[in-house]
Amino acid sequence: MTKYILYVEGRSFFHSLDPRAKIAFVVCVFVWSSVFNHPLYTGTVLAAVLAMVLASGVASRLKMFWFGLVSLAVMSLVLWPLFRRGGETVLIQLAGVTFTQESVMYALAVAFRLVAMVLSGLLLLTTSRIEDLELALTKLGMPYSMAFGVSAVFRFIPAMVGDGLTILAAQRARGVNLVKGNVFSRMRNSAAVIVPLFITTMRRFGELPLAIESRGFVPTAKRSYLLDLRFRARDAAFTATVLFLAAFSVYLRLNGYGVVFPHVI
Amino acid sequence: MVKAVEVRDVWVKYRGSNDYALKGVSAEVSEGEVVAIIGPTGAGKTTLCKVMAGLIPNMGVYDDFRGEARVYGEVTTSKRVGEISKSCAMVMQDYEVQLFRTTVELEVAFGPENLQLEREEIRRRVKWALDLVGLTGLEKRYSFALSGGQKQRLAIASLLSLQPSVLILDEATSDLDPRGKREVYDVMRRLLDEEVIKSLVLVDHRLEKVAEFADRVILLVDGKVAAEGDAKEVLGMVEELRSLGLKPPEVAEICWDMRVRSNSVPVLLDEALRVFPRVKRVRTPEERPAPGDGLAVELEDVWFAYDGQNWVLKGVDFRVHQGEMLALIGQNGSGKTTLAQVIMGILRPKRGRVRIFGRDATAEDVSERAKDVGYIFQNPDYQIFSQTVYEELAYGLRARGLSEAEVDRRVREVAEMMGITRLLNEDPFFLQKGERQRVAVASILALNPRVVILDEPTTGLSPGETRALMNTVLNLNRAGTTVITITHEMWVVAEYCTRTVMMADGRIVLDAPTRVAFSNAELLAQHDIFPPETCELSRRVAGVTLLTPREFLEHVEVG
Repeated sequence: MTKYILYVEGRSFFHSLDPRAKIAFVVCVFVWSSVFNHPLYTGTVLAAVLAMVLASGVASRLKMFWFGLVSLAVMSLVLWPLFRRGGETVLIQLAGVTFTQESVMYALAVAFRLVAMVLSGLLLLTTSRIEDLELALTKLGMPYSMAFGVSAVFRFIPAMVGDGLTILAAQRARGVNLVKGNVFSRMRNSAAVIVPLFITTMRRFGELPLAIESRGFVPTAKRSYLLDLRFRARDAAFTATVLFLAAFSVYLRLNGYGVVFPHVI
Repeated sequence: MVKAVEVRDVWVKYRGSNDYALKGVSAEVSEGEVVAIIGPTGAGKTTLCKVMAGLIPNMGVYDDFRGEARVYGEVTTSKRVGEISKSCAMVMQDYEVQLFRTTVELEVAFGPENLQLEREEIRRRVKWALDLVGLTGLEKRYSFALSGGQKQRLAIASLLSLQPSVLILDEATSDLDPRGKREVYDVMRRLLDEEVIKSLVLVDHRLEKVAEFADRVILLVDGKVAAEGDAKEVLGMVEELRSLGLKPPEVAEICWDMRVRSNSVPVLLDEALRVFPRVKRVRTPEERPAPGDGLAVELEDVWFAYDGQNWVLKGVDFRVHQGEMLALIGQNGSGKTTLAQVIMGILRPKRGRVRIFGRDATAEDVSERAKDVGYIFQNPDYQIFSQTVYEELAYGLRARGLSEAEVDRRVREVAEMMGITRLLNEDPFFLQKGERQRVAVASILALNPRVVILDEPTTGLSPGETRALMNTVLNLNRAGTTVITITHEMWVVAEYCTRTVMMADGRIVLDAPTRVAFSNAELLAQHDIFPPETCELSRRVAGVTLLTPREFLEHVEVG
């Protein structure tokens, strides 16, 4: 079940950063990839994130996300040329629809952007303990009850996956087939897994508030923390660097760099 | 004596329910006392626990709450639950909901953190609490990766770190395997002996455990206190307990029926042994007729691993005859469920062969196997998804392509058999757990399987509900169905199963007729399995292993 906790123990540079510095990095990845819409620029951002993923030694834990990430990119590549019209360099005309080089480049840029954003989030989750992240979010001003909620979700994923697998087995044992039949019977059959999972989860976690309050939790009250975070000089330097780069990227965009279509994001 | 908890004339009606869950209940827990609350399902045991811990009326919605509860003299109403748990804290049945942090250490630290204690003090309490429950050394582990028993002990530690004087255990061991149950009760013994806690309130269907721990017992029936008094006195009310579908301690049943008394009816084994009269005659118990020669299930050197390297089944050879009713026992993680799922075809063995009624089914798909084998899971909520009970029972039949007329006939037949005909138009979601369990069982039996696997079917059911379910299964078995029951309840094994197979670490370590298996107390104890007290009593006083109180009565004559 450990594979459902994303965190991978490690001693890489990114691992050793304070979670707040890592959050700054993720925010900056969002800024960098959003201000440009030229594939060369967003591609550079993606390359930087990928390099960080590889250097942190967490690539193997992200195996289960590859398919999703590739689908995300492919979807963007297919859809954007249809919707982002304009540009002069006509590449091809298909069934009366014109595809321009600009719209394809834009699609590529957005594909890189989306993948970079998701990947940076995953990088944060695979290199930080949830509890450290929770504390970091609190220290950054998020109300504790919200940060606690975030970490609780991660705690319950393994339990839910376990329930889901058992439900799947239980339903297969009584003849529910999830891969056979037409769309409607498949939908009906997937309800055989989703409904019990929902009900099991509801029943199970209906008592959760009782358990939490029994332990003295008061949503709005102050509390102390066993863990401690230290924002060291290195974290400060890293954060300053990425923030500077974010500002610089905005400056570049304002001066017309890194764009295929200047008037859209 | 200092009163730790006092409940005065409490009435509770949950929002939207027809009747009161508690109807004028008064109860007390003094300092230094162990009090057990017993009663059938729906009697209000959990509600009373929640009133004591201040969860009611402070959390949740109620149509009516009257009366008052005091913890160390202070009225609980409109106090914060967390404030009350500093003196009186409640451990719930489902350990999963009580653990919501990621690691063991942070779980225990959560309470002290909320109390805004200094970091050093938090650390001290975490260390102290983990030591008390025997989890030292696991501080950095993820809590979800622990065993059930460890999880429940962690839940206890995380309440202990608030340093309560009263602990309430509401069926806290029901979901655990025998080892987990023993671990939790070992911890309770230690907490009481070392006076870490001053009082303990227990809810447990296993009245042997209650007899061992409790000073006083409160019997709840239909929201009212039906009896209250010295533990021996209440647990000795054999007839009353039986009529409520409870299971009195077995020695009490035997002593009651044979009119063996000391001052009162003995409820503990030691006590019974002291006063038991000389046995005049013992008749040898005859076994149920052996099943026929035909094999229903045959496993040959079966190996299985979920990840390809850690073997969960290590060369299992296993044969089940047609018409057998056998028990598969062993701790969680020993491979019982994996073995059952290999038989069902949900899992495919990595090595070895599976034969079902003689045909090689090793590579067969589960949907094919489902025609012969039915699998009933522990939690009915794992399979119920239809809007009416009728639809639920019809689902598997329709998936098999039967005609509507045939579907209707089978649904009504199985509903009749399981006693749920009146529920056919109900939404299963709103039924009680025992009823939902019957619906789940019926939906499998509707398919007419020749082999039925029950995977811990009685977890969370009262003894009365357990018997009702197992009697139905026994009737099926008498009609020729082969039954494999995975269970942690040894009295269920003793009463219903003629053969017992024990697994440990992916291997079968014992496979014998139940009487022979339960005679081997030493081997069972090595694996943390404890046969019913009747076995021990009969061995000591009559020199044979008898399995149930009834069997004892029928075969032992005293002078």
